[in-house]
Amino acid sequence: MKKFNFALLFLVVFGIAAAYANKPLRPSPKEMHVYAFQCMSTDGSKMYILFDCTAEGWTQGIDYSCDATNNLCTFYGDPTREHSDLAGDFFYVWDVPHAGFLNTGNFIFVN
Amino acid sequence: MASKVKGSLFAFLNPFVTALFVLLFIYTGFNKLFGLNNFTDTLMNQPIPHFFIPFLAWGFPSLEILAAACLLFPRTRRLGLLSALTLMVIFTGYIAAILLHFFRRVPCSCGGIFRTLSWQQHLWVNLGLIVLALLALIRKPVSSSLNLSL
Repeated sequence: MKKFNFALLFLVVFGIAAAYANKPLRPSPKEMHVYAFQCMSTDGSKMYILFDCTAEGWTQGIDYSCDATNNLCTFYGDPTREHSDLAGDFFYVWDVPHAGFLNTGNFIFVN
Repeated sequence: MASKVKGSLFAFLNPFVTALFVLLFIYTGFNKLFGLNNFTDTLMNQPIPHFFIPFLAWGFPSLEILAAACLLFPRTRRLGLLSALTLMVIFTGYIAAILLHFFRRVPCSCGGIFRTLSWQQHLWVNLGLIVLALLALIRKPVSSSLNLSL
């Protein structure tokens, strides 16, 4: 019978500890408001939101996430960073178009 | 002389690759499970059918941990290397599909172990890991086992 390798076992323990120490942080959904709205570029290739998350220091996948299914973007947002200017300019997630975006998005308070 | 150096390099390669994949898959697998909600959100961001996501959210980390577990035991090490290679080929194929614009949009690459890497950098890292897994598989006959001394 082959001897079990304890060096690898150490790596396993180390890997689990490191994974736990670096687990992705996400605010509890109970503390977050969830917003959903529809806003796409007219050619359908880009998705826009009513808030410049990147300028606010939010990290995609951590502070907010977008689900582009059916042109719907759902993201989790900290209510203390809630935007209030519904009539304001559209800001961007990835880039800003100078023209050609659909300006009919509805901002819906979901939760 | 040259063949001696080559031999000792390859003798080091198998334990190194095994240890590398054990650490990689244990870390990434458990990291996904510890942040399962985040990982699910990340998958929701990807251009994949959403009915798959609950299965993938549990499936990927489970497969990674299973591959790492196989690498721990000499009898299953080759199976572990093959599983690691298969997973890396799947991930790399997905990244290549994104970079070749097979999908309607380019999703963010922020969900994996290397959160700060771009998709291009991810691709190179994955290709390097695939080469290492292939070298270890080529060097390791089916009947033999590694005598790992790290």
